[in-house]
Formats: sequence, structure tokens, C-alpha cells
Amino acid sequence: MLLRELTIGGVFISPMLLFALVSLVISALLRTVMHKAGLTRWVWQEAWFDVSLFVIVLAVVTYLSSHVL
Amino acid sequence: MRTIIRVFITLVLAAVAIALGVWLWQYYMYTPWTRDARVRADIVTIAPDVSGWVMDLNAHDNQQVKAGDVLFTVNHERYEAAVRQAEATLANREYSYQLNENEYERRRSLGSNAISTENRQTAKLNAQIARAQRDLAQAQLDSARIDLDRSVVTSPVDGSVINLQLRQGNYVSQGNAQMSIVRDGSFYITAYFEETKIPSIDIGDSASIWLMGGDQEMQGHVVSIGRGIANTNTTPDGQLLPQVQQTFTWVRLSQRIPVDIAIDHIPDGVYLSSGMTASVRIDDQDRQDEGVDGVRPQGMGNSGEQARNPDIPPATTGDVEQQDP
Repeated sequence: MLLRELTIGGVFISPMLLFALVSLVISALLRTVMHKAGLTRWVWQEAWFDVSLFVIVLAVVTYLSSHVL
Repeated sequence: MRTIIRVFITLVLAAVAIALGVWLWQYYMYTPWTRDARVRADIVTIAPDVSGWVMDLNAHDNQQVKAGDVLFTVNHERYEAAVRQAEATLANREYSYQLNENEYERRRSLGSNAISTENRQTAKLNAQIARAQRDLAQAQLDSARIDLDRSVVTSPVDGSVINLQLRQGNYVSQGNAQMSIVRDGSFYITAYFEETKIPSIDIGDSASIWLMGGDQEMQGHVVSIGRGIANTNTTPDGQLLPQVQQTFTWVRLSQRIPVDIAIDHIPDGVYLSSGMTASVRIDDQDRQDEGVDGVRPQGMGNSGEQARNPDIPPATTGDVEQQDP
């Protein structure tokens, strides 16, 4: 897929929007899993952690979309 | 101890996030892809070489024509009359030449006591003048015949008639374009890349193309990168001074440079029209100039899919790089 615009019913959107949405879902899931597993006590500043997690997941998703799909 | 580990983990994660964020930004901003690309084709405009009203209109809108097919016919009565007139003039000059020639032949054989040298020379020159006038009449006849031939306007290329506004009975003037023809197989893509992305594009790089309508991917390669775009700062005012624009903005938008991309293969079922919107991505931007298969001076597509070039002399391309500053 890599970088190309996406068509949703004749509306063309930037692929980054899709990547961001996917990343948001993935990081929310990861966050929930970590919370359930009790890993959050190893986190110092939760807000920093959440933002960093989202950026990392977004980068990974973007990379995978171009190199795997 | 536990606090240190917690802080450490979070900071490491934040550092990784910053690094990946920078990569993401670079990747998104500098990967050479654009949504601003258009399908283009070679357009041949058809103008009659003679004036007159249109007697027969053979072409219709979007018609597929072959090179040499008659498109329309300009009323040719006047051009037929012109040919007859030129023929008559030629005959007149021919007889006039024969008369003068006979006169000269006769006077040439006379002895020097029967005719003066001056008279003989005059007769010779008269014969030469008459011959020149005959040649002139011949050239005029040729010209009149060309006009008559060109009252039938034919297609110079294989292609499709576009936006035909001409109607039977319209008056057409010499040299005014009446219709245009999109040459068969001459489709190519012009992608407008931001100037920040130009450094990673090389001639010969392969490109992926998606039309706005349809999900099919087409492959192509870069054949040339535009050497110039308009600069509004050079537009002169009424006193021929340059109208320089002030740039107040913090944010400066990158301009776009046209990059021509030849389509290697048009998949079945893909319908191309000149002007369609496309997205283009340059694939192997890391490959440094290897395997550059050169710029094609005429037409831009794969030679196998191109129709033959029209019978017009090729334009000479100036080599800009060689010029002294």
C-alpha cells in the first residue's frame, strides 16, 4: 500500500489519517493489556508514556504498511 | 531503586518515540509521492490551410481517425477557379515565350548587315524575359494546386477528435485551429512534485501510478524533470519594472515542479483521458541513476505502445546545461 491516497466513497483522504486511527486503536489495546497485567506501575509519567507509545506504534504501522503490505 | 527504573523506562520510551517521530516526519514529508498528477497526451490542433466555408464535415466528436482520413472539406470552387486561371496564365506565357523565342531564333541567323547587334540582343533578352514569366506562371499554378489540395483537410495522425465545435457551413479561416486530435498511444503522466521531493527523484526511476477512478496500479518511469516554472516576481508592470511580491509569511509553501512519467504498460480496462487526475509514487528513489534508459525526445511512452509520430520535422532540443551563464 505505502503512501497513496485512500478512497472512501469518493472522498480522498491522506493515508496518515488511516495510520493514525489504526495506531490509536492498537495503542489503546496495548494500554489496556498493560493495565490488566499490572505493568503500569513501572511507568513514571503516564501521559508521556501514552504519547510515546502512540508515536512508536504509528511509526511501526507506517513502516509495516510500506514494507510488508 | 524502583523509582529510578520507572523513570528510566519512561524516558527511554520517550527518546525512542522522538527518534521514530522524526523518522516518520522525514518519511511522510520527503517520500516522493504526490496526489497532484495529471494524465496528458500529445494534442494536435487541426487548422485549415485555406479559408472558406465547410462543405462537408466528415469527423464527429470523439471519433477515432487514422492518419490521412478526411476531416472536413473547405469549399473549393474558388480554388478550382484559381487553378484554371493559373493554367490559362501559364498557357498565355508559354505562347508568349514561344513567340519571343521564334523571333530570336530568326534574328540570330540574320547577318550583321541585316540586323543591328542591339536588335538581336533585345530579341534574346525578350525571349529570356518570356521564359522567366512562363516559369513564374508555372510556380503560380503549382501554388494554386496546393491550395486546391489543401481544401480537403486530413488528419495528420492516428487519434481521436476532441471537442468538435465545427459545423457544416461554418466559415473557417486559414491558420485558425478548428479541432484537436489526441494522438493514439501518446498518453503520459505529469506529476507535480513539491520541490522538497525533487532531490530524491532521478530520471529513470520507476513509478507507480493510480488513477483517481479505479484501483489498478500502473507502472511507469521518470523520463524528465521540468527545468522551469513561472516566477511571478518577474512579471513587469506598466513601466516594465518587476513586480516583486513581499513574503510576510512564516510558512512558505513549497512550489511544485512538473515531472514527466512515461507509462510502461496500460492494463486492459483502464481508460485514459487526457486531463485525468492521478496519484504517483516514485519507487526506487535510493537507486542512484543506474540503468537510466535516457530521455526520449519524441513521444514519451513505451515505444511498443506508441503510434507512429506525425510527419512533422522534429523540434530541435536546445541543450540548456551547456549554456554559459
